[in-house]
Amino acid sequence: MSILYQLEYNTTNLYDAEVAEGHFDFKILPLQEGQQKLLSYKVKSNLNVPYEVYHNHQGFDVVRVHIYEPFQEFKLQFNATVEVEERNVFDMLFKSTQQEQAYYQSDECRLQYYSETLVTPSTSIGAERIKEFPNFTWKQQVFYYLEELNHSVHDYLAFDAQATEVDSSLEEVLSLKKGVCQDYAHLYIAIARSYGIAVRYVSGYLHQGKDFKGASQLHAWVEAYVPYIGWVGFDPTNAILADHHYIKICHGSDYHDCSPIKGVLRTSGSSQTSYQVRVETQ
Amino acid sequence: MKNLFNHYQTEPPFIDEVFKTSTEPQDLYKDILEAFYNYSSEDFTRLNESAKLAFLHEGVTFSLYGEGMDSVEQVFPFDLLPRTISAQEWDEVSVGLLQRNTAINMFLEDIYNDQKILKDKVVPADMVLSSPHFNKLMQGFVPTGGIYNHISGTDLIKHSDNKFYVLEDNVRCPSGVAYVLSNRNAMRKTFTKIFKDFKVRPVDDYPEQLLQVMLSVSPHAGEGNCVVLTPGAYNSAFYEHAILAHMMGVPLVEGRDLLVKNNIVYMKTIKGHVRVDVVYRRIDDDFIDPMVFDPTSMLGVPGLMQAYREGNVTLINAPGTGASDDKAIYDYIPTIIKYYLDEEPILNNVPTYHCEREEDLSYVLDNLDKVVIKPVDMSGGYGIYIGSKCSSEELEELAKKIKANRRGYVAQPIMNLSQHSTFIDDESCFEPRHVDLRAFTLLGKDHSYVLQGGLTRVALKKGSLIVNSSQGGGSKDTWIV
Repeated sequence: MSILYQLEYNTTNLYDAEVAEGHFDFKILPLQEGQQKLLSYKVKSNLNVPYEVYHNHQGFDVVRVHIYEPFQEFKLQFNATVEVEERNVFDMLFKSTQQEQAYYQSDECRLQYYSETLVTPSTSIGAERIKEFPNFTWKQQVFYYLEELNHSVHDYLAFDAQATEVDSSLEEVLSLKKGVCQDYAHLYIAIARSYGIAVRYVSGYLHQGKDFKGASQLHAWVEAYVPYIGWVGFDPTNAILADHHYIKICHGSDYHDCSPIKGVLRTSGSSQTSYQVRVETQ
Repeated sequence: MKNLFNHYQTEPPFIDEVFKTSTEPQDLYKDILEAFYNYSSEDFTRLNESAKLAFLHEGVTFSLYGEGMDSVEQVFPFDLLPRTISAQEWDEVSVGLLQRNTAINMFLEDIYNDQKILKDKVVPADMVLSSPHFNKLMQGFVPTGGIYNHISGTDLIKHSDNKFYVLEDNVRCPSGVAYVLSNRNAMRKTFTKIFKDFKVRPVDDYPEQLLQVMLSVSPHAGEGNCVVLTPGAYNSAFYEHAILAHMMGVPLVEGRDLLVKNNIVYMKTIKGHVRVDVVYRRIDDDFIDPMVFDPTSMLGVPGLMQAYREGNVTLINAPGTGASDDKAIYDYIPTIIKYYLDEEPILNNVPTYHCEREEDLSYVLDNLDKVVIKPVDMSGGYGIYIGSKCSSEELEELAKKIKANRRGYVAQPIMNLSQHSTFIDDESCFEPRHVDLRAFTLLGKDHSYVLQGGLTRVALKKGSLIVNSSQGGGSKDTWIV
């Protein structure tokens, strides 16, 4: 069985002063991967400027817009149809804990997943903080630890769209014990990486039909590497595994590799940026 | 013995490149010194002043940056007694430079693609992959022509064993070559006659050679439009950007003069947009493209990196070359040469202690007063401590700093940089001063070149071992005869 999704992403950017030149990158295109197929899409903007799609260094398609004419308002609408196959996310067969440990500690694995195990400024917390979460030893199956961590991070933070900013540090998030999906994902990554588990930040769409948190915005979750299985998606914001309700755009070390919009402008004034997302099934 | 050298004193154990003893010149310098002996102290001072003035008028200047200070534009002090190296000795060094920089190029291609050297554990993967200069955007892609370090600046010193050692590699757009060209120009104007008598190997072909290297890696094999991209007139090396563009006959542009459409780079001109194929960029990696690096900086060109990755434009040097000239990697260069070329390294390396290694750290901490401590990430002579010149409080501070950031520091034994007779304004005579040499190597597709000589830098402060212009250094013309 597969599900057909209609996605819509809308952004409005308003500027106090005229912008002489603007450049935008949008990481909003659903990935063609595994159970997920991008059937069609459309990009529209109020300025009628052409857009380009390029394959970036991480292997993801990015929508790029160069605006060389002055403007004060820039709107972009993106629509896509995506087909996702339903799947049982628990359908996995694990190897022994010794085999898992041996694989994880092999040079081949270390080199291949180096950047997924490297702590970044956004995913760094103190050793004392890490002790507040479940401890990992190689005596435990990696997958079951990751699931335990998923619940633990979920229970630690309360979802609050107003509490944190896009650049809040993990320490701030931990003292507030509040945050949004990005904070849940960063916290999860910080702890998993402290044990040498390869884990990456994922940005994407979440089907709104169910009452999930973070649904009218783009969502963030994580993928962790389970030996002999591959990358498995965990959503600590909702304490579940990422299944066919999750439509992935891209992944990276942390939010900064995945931010949905990035703009570079020649202007002097300030700006307001907002966006909405809709995900519907047909 | 005449006026200018009356009180000259060599300072063993340092090699004096000009004098065997305080009164007897080295063979190579006998004839050159004859010309200098003819000057009285007053005449020479006058000559020196007029040479300085010529530099000021030509705008051969640089800017000094200090903490909390505005930058100050200064004339780069120039010394009229040329540093002379025999052709025979230099030819050997040249071969060594080509070998070393070729190996560095192979290392860069490898770490950004197959990572064979890391898989074979010849160089520790952590050291390379955790380097702040390792650039993820360079992964899985080889620039047109397969060249990363088109321009390499190799800093050499002559130790008391009379051998050249490499002190550091600079492959992130090294500067200084314009001074070589200006120094030669000034020497030719000032000592027209001496110049005729010696068969000094030319340096004037550098801009032409650089242009050929740029064209050799153009997306349109051998032809295309080249530009020099400068951060602007306030940059400390703006003079160099301007003079190189002028001598190559290519446009000097700022970021705002270029634009990218459909991953093609264009230059804005009064006749419309003109496609650009090769960019010699004198902007640091972090600023060349705000779309993928620092978004707040408009020095670069939005979209440049993707145009580069698609092979539509070539950048000189490649971004991410800093992963190979990091002071922690330096120690592995001889190993890197053997690994890729299966040759013995020709140029010597100075032994280096990595504070992140347990046994090295304890050696360094026990011998702080006998070593030079260098921060891994800084260049231009900033942040260097010479153990023997630090007070015990300073050494204690330093030990704390090292322990807090072990990967951040390496140490080397204090090398005895050779000395060279240098005219000292305040004394109106020549005195020995420490010198080094920045050599320039160009690599293109099926094209390589070593500049004959390079930039001899002089530590003008008596006894000082730090020659960087930012630390009060001067320079000399370098003659290969």
